[in-house]
This record gives sequence, C-alpha cells and structure tokens, in this order.
Amino acid sequence: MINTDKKKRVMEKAIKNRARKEKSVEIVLLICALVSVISVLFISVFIFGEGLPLFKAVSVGDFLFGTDWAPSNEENPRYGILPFIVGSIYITLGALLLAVPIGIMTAVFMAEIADKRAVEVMRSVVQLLAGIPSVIYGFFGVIVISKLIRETFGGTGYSVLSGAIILAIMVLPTIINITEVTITSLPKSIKEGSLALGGTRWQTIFKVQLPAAKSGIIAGVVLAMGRALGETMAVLMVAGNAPIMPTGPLSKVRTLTMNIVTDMGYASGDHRTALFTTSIVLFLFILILNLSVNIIKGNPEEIA
Amino acid sequence: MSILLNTQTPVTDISIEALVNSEQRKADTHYRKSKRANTLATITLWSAAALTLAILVYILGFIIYKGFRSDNILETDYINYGTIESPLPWQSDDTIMIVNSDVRLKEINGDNLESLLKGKPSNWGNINEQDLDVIPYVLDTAEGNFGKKTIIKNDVESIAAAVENQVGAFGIIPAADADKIDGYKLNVIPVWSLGIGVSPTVLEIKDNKKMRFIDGDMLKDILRGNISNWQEIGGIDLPITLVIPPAGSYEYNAYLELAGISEDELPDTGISTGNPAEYIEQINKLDGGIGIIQITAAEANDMKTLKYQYRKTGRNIQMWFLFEEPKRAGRVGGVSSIIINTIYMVLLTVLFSTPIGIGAAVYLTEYAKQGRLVKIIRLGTETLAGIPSIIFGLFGFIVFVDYMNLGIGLLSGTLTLTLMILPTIVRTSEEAIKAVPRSFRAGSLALGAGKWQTIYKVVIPAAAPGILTGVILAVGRAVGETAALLFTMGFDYRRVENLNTSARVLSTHLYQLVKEGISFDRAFATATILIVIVLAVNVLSTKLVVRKY
Repeated sequence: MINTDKKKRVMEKAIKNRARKEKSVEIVLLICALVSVISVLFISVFIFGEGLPLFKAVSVGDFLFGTDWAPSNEENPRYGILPFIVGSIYITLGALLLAVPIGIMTAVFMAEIADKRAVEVMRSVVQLLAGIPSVIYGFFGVIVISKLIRETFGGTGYSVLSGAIILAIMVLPTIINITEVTITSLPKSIKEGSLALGGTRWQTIFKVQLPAAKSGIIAGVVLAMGRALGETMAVLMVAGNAPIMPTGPLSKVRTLTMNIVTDMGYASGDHRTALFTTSIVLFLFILILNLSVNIIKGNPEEIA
Repeated sequence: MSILLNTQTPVTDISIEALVNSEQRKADTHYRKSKRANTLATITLWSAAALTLAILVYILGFIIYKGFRSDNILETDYINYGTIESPLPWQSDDTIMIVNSDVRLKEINGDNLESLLKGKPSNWGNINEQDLDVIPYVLDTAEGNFGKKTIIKNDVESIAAAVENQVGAFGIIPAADADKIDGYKLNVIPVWSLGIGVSPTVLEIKDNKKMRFIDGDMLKDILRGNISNWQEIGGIDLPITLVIPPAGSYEYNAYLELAGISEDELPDTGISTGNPAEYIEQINKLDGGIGIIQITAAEANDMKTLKYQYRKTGRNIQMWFLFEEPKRAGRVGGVSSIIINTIYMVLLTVLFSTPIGIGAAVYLTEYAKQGRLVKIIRLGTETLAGIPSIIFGLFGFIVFVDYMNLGIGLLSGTLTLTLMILPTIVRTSEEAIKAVPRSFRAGSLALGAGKWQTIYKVVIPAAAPGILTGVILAVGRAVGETAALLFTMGFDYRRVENLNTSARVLSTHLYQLVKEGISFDRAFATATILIVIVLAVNVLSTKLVVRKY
C-alpha cells in the first residue's frame, strides 16, 4: 500500500515536472515567435521616434511637397523631399513597365507551355536572379547599362532609365514566381471549360486564365513595387543621385532610399532627423503596399 | 441561319453549294487565323522566357568572364616594348634588372625603376598591387642617385644571392655580367624605356582635332612608311616626317623590331641621322616629326611625346587575390581578411537567427492554436520580410550602434542581419516541420515521449534538411546584403579582432571599390567571389530539397 502510494507520488511529481518543463519550453518558443512582431514594433517606434521631431522645425506640407533639399544651408535649411518621392515613383513605375509584361509572359510560359525540364531550368533561373546580391546588380548597371544608355542616348548614362532597367531585372523573379503559382493553382476546370468551348490556347491563356489569375498577378506586381521602392544599392550606383526633380527618363534622379544612404554618413541635427523622416515616408509606402498585397490576396491559406 | 436570311439570291442547289463553300472557306480562314494567333502566342511566351534566361546568363557570364580575365585599354608614356638588356640613362652600360621570384612583376618602365632605386615607393604596391617592401641592390660601380635604403654590394654574385633569398628584393647588374646570375632562382625583368617623341607641330589643335595617342598598329604603319599624313590617324592635316634613329643604337634596333622589318626595308621617306644629339634635334625641329626615343632623353630635351595606347589582357582573379591581405583601401593585396570577415558575419548571423527562427516555426506549427496571436505573429513576420534593408540599416544604427552602444562593428551588423533574415528561416522551417508526417509524432507520443521530446528528438531531425535549406538561403541573402551594413558594420578591411571592431565584408568591399573607382578589375574579381558563393548556395539548397515523405 505504502509502496504504491510512493510510486504514485513519484509519478505525479514526474508528470508535474514534465508539465512544468513543457510549459517553460512553450514560453521560450513563444518568445522566439514574438521576436519578429517585437522587431516590427521596435522598428516602427524607433523610426518614428527619430523622424517625427522634424515636424517641430518644418511643416508636414513643406517636407512632403517642398521641392528644395538644402539641409546644409545654415541660414535657411530646407527639407523638401518631393523630388525624391517623385524619383522613387518614376523609377518604380519604369521598372514595372518593363518587368510586368516579361514577367507575366515568362510565368505563363512556365505554367502552360514548358515541359518539365524547361520548367526546372526556368525555376533555377528565377531563383538565381533573385539570389544575386543587389550590389552586383548595381555594379553590372554601372558597367553595362549606364554605358549602353550613354552610348545610345548621350548624357552621363546615370539616369531614371538606367535605374528602371536594373530594378526591372531585380523584380522579375517576384513577378514570375507569384504569377506562376497563381496560374498553376487555378482550378483545372477553368482551362478545360475554355478549351471545350473551342477556345484556342491563345484565347484560353489570355482571355480566361490570366483574367482568372488577376488578383494573384496584381498581388505580385504590388509586391514587386514594394521591392523596387525599397531597393537601395543598385539604384544608388546607377541612377545618378542628384537631388533634383527628375525631368525625364534621362535625367539624374535621387530616390528616397538614396537620400537616406547618401547623407546618413555625415548628417547631424535636423538634417539627420530629416533622413529618419524620409525613412518614415518610405516605411509607410512599403507598409501600405504590403497590406494591400494581403488584402488583394485574401487569406493566403485559401489559395493554397 | 443568319447567313441564309442575309442572302438575297434565291436558294438553289448551286447557291447552297456556294454557301457551303463560302462557309468552309470562312472556317478555314478562321482556323488559319487562330492557328497563327496560337503560333504567335507561343513565340511571344518562348521569347519572354528566353529573354529572362538571357538576362541571367549575360549578367553572370559577363561578371564571371571579367572576373577571370582582365582586358583593359591603357595609355602610357611608354611603348610596351622592353628588353632584358636595356640602357638606363644614368648608366653608361646596358643593365639587367633581376627580381626576387615572389614579386609578381612582368615588366617595368623606366620611371618606376628609377623611383624604386631612389627608395620612393618603399612598397611594391604602387607598381604591381603587391604589399611587399622594396629592397633595392646595386653594384658599387653603378652610377646614379640611389636612396638611403639601397644596398650597395661589390660583386654580382652577392646581389643575385640576396635577391634570390630576400622577398621583395631586386637588383640592377651590368648586362656584361649576365652569365654570373645563372643558377640563381630569380626573375629577369624587361624594362620599358622608349616613348614616341614628336615635334610640337604635331600636337597643335586645328579644326577641333588634336593628336592624342598612338596605338600599336598606327605606330607600325608609321614606322613602315605606310602613313604619310597625321590626318589619317586622327590628327591635323600635317605630313608625317619620320626620323630614323642612328644606326646601331638601342632605338634603332627597337625601331626595326616594332615595325617588323629588316634594315633593307627601312622606308625611303625616313630621314636618317648620324648621332643621337642630331636625332633629337631633327624630331623637334621638323614639321610633323616623329621618332622613337628614350623617355628620359625626351624629358631632358623638353621634347613632346605622344601617349601610347595598348591593350593589356591577362588573368584577373588569381590565388594570391584570395590569400593576401588587402592594403590601402583594397588598392593593394587581395581580399583574405575580407573573406574571413564575411565568414565570421555569416556564422554569427546563423548562430543568432537559426535558434530563434526554428523556435518561432515550432511554436507556430506545433503549439499555437489558430487565433489572433498566430495571425499577429504571421503578420509580423510577413511585414518584417517586406521591410527594405536600408530601414533595417537605420534601425540597427539607432538601436544597436547608438542606444545599446555596441558601436559600428561586427556585432551590430550581424544583429541587424539576424532580424533581416529571420522571416526566411521562420517560413522555410515552418514548411519543413509541417511536411513531417503526423505518424512520426503519433509514434513518438505513443511511446511515452513528451511533446517537447517528440519535437526535439523526432520532428526537428526529420525536418532538418528543409530547415537547412532555409538557413542556406538566408546565408545567401546575408552574404550579399550591403545597404543594411553600411551604417552598422563599417568598412575596416583588416581582420576583425573582436565583436565591436568595424568589419568590411565582400559586398561592402565591392561597393567601396566601385564607388571610389579604385579598380574595376578588383571589383570584378570581388563580384565573382560573391557570385560563386551565391551559386554554391543555390546548388546546395536545391540538392537538399529532394527529401519528401
């Protein structure tokens, strides 16, 4: 009797111990899982905390819509970042204009036309394109694309167009990946229905499948837009980095990211704060884009 | 039906036949049209894919090609013509330059040789990008101004022995004693000493034209007498007056060799002179005059020289580039310490991010109940993945460098990178863990193992290849990252000594090389190393994914 009691107690203790251990493990794992969330919160808090005080010195309107960036002017420093916002938008839209058609076509090719081996080749191509570091894209841009632009159109070659071409190559993988996944995950019945009604392959792809995959494709394009807006090194190296309002595709340009990198090394006081404020604008742009991806895609679990 | 209604003619047998025919034809054209559209579509899609492929191949091929092979057009005062036995202006007899075999030197020009002897770069770096001290040796009978560090010996054998044994040593010996250095392990270096002397009239500017340089082919044509006017090679309208060096002189022999002709084939248009002083005077005085001349002689006589343009090709990245320490902002030496810094960075980043990433993935797949918390965590991870690297850089700069006072250095940089690559590891680990069949867990639990035991001993080992893939992909991303490191990791190219020292890695080094315009050859070599790492990462990650249940 005593013996069984003792055994029971020992076992209960072991169970309790184990339960306690399990609980503590769970807590540790939860903390790991929360690191990302906490990081995002911290990043937001710190970026806003460092950047917002600028508005004590400069009005929001002057900052966002001012066209004059002269932070080193001691008597009357001006912090207008409109040229950089416009520059970012120009380069991003230019990149998408080039990358979206090629990206979608390549994705359709992979989903509908290519045989298994071709798909495998294209998969590794896309994976490699995505894996090449941005500083290498920038270097390639300096050596090849700027030179090409310089020789074709004249000027320095460091321009909106050069930046857009490099960014187009860089966002291709994003567009291709998402479009391909969306097209392949469309229900077979959509394609079969069209073919059964006598639709040709061309018609089926362009009039049925692509429209059906619209939301996925748009999500991919928006995601690519986010990538392009946030890209720093490659555009920094090829786009000229002049703090002026871009006037055309051959004009030198500075984007929001370039503005942060260029001045961060030496800026102090309001100037430094203004760089963090610039990053707030960039951060908000990206957040809005990412949130809209989530909204467009809906719940990702549903598609898969 | 509509066709029948639209037909005006009465319906007869013939018209029905015609109708059928016309319908047939319409169907045919429609068929052909749709077939054409299909072909067009296929071609469009194929070319899009081909373009994507071509872009990748071009970028990688171009950089790797240039990484392994340097190919540059250079312009110098000197003609790329050198001989083993060469005249030095400050010596009365011909000399030979001998160099220690560890010094990477294929040729040297007169200016560089003179300054080396004066001890004024005291390092080989300026001349051949090698970080070595220069130790010059000369004979006691040698004439000229030598630096304080130049060591004077009294016989050729002791110079040869010293040059053989001392890394970075070189010596100048009389050409007459060439046989005395036989048997010593050292390199004999040809010296470039000649340039292209021209009369001042050649360099005048007329009609926006000015003679700027000559390349090897132009020079050959001129020396053979095939070109008679400067206009033909981009200069002004002025007849070329070719002056032939005094017969038997060093310049004379070089002339014949550069032109690729024998003595009998010397052009008749050339003006021959008897002695060196007259030769120089002729080139200077005659309109459109040109002649091959020692650069030092040209300088001494205030003679104008034309730049000589030539193409220099050779291997670019070589073993020494990987194993030598960089010096002078990467102008000299290799990238060894930078590679080591990169390895440290990758190891630390993996060390920090893998446990957290796997922990998060385990929590999300094994513990969390679907609900608001999981949604928030997912959203957080996704948002983190979308934040641009420059913002990570700023964050690391304020938090790790400033607030936590870690300074710009290895630790700040790797912590920043850890946050950046965390989403990749979480996402891939999650998928890998999800792919482990339920039966694994059920079996383990049925055997009496606890939940954590099951995860730790069964689930994670089973998911290891997938997790490893994620880690490798994350490493690929970390290796190439630049923007986040600019303000967190710094640019010191020496090997890091502790966690707080600023450290330059391959990506930031490449950026610096391009930004400062230090050397495109070196930039290509560095980019090639980076690309090789990225390729290796890709191969590894695809090799690992094969495991399926």
